[in-house]
Amino acid sequence: MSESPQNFDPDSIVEQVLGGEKDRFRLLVREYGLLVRGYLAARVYHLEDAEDLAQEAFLVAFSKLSTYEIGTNFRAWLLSIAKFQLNNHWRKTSRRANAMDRFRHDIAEAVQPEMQKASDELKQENVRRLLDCISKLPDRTRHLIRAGLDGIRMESLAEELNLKPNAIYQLRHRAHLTLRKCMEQRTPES
Amino acid sequence: MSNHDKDPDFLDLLAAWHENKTLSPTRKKELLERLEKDENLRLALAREIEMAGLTRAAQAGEPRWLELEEKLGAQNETSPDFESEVMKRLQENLPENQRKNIFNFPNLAWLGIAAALIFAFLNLSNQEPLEQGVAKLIRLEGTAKPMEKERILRKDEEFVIEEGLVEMAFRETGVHLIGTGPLKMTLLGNDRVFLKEGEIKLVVPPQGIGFVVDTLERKFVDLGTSFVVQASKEGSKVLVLEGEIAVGGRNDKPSQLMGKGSAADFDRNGSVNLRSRGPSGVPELSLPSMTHSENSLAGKIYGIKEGTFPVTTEKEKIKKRAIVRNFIPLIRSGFKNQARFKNFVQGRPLRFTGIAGTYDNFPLRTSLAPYSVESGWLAWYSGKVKAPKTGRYRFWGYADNNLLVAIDRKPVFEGSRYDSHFQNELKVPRKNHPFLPCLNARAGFASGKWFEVGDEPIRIDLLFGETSMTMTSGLLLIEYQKDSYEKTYWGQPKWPLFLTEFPQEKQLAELDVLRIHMEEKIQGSFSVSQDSIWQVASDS
Repeated sequence: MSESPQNFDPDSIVEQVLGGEKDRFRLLVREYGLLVRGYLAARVYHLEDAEDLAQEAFLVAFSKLSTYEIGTNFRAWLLSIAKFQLNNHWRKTSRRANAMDRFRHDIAEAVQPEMQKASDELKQENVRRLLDCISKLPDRTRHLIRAGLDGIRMESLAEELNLKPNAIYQLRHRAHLTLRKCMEQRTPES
Repeated sequence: MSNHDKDPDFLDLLAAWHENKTLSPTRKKELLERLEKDENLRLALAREIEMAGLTRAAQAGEPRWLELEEKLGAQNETSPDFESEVMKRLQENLPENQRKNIFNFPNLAWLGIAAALIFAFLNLSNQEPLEQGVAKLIRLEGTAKPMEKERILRKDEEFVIEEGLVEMAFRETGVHLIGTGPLKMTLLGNDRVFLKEGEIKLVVPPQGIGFVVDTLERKFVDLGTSFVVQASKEGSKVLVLEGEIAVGGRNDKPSQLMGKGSAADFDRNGSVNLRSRGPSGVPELSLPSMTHSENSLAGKIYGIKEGTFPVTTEKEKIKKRAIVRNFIPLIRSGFKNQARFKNFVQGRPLRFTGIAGTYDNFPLRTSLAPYSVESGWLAWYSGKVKAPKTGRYRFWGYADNNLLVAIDRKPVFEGSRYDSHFQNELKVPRKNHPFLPCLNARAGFASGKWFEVGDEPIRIDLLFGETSMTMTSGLLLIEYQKDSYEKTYWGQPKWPLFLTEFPQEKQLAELDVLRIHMEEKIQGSFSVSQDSIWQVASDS
């Protein structure tokens, strides 16, 4: 069994886990953790909720591992579980959603097929390179893309950078394009 | 570049998605209708949201999934080869082109975080027994010894390399350490090393706060930061890159706090020498000869007389007293109104040698003393210059805090920090380029408007200085419209420094050091070119 990032074989690990080596499941968590967390963080407003849902998705995956059909697509199977968790979450939270939450829902519904496409486009080997690509961003750009995490609101960031709020989204969009390019450009080397 | 990044609908949708931007019902309806019709917009939005989620998760740090850990059981159920497989994957996760930037400090910080994240993920909460070691060796390069097979470092282990580089991550604290040989240190535990000889850089994540580096002279306690410690026979040195550390004596002497940019030497006799204090350890160029010739652009440095204002700690009051504020009427009057100069003191006459790097000691070196350090300083260069070629030019650059250039008495470039008086009061048109890296990230790269230059000399006025205290840095570059320039990794053309004389040999060497520093540490750059020197007119 080869488990170098390039030759990661989820099926053989699944077989080992099912064969009793349940600790091997950690390898799957490590390989797909960022992907699942990213998938959920893209769709859920509060990051903590995304993290909780990601754990739930892995818990479900672990308990239902025997239902995974070896030879199919483990990543897709795992993401389908994450999606199921997400739908549950939306269903639970929709009752207390305000107008803007509902608008986000509407947007999410409108772009659902495209979100699926965008998610499928993110190749696993590219996801692995994300941190390396982020590390290459200039300081200000990194500041820009992690501002939300640091609790800085866009208005404050716009003021600090002497930009209009929409310009922040514009720059973040460009930063994401740069990251995507960086992740994809390095594919042949991997 | 996406054709949506200037689309207001796209940007409003992002604002609504990420920050619940308040929109009117009509606007929401419009946006949903557009989404319904425009497949390209839907895809661009979906891709943006997907990437935003991924970067958000990647930067958030690894969560601790206790429930999942409980399900998976104790780590000692791990199959025997789990550790080696994990280490193998760690190695494979560090691509070659990541290695080449190993001494790029901003990147190092991220590498550190990345390694810490990977490390944290591997551990999923300290499940491996402590006897398996306190740290993991991630990398060992350029050493005579081949890579050790067992890459776990144990408590009280003495780690020695004669040469090369080592990278390791501490198991429980996530502290990331990079050391260069010759290196001799002892791993005293999960949160402590004793450095006998060599240089180490540490990036300490929140869970590692309190990590201690002992040397013979001092104890360095991390308070959430990144710092470098060096130990040798002569003593130890420390440089704080980010955050703050507490420096304590070996005999329980009281601790002293050191902040970002601080560096200090501690010798074996107990004496301390605070070496420098800069925004990012950027080299400060030495001051070339200030003797004027007919080819030099003359300048003066100004400060406010000491004792002009009563002492205060109120930031707003200090800001209002800044000398730079007193230059606003001068600029507005086309550099004629010097009414406010009566409270100024002057240093030695200046000779313009470009704006590049840090200027923390500039007032001292130009004998601007005594002056009110709290009110900052400003250098004003003025004279007539002739462009190397006729045509259109524009300035690029930044300053922390103030930088302004006027041609024929009208400002054409203002590259000051976002909170500077120049930027907020003069409103000189400027284009911001947040993507381009600055020596101090808060400075903000900007460009000015194009201006036309003919055969005749033109008047130039150049103002550069500090709002308060002494941490100053800047860069002033010039672009000729018809020239093309080599570009940096981030697409910044390596525009030449704006200079009125070609640098002397020593200055040229120092500029080269600065350029290398910028290329390695912030991936910025500049060039120095004989062809882009602006000649000072003889009647200047």
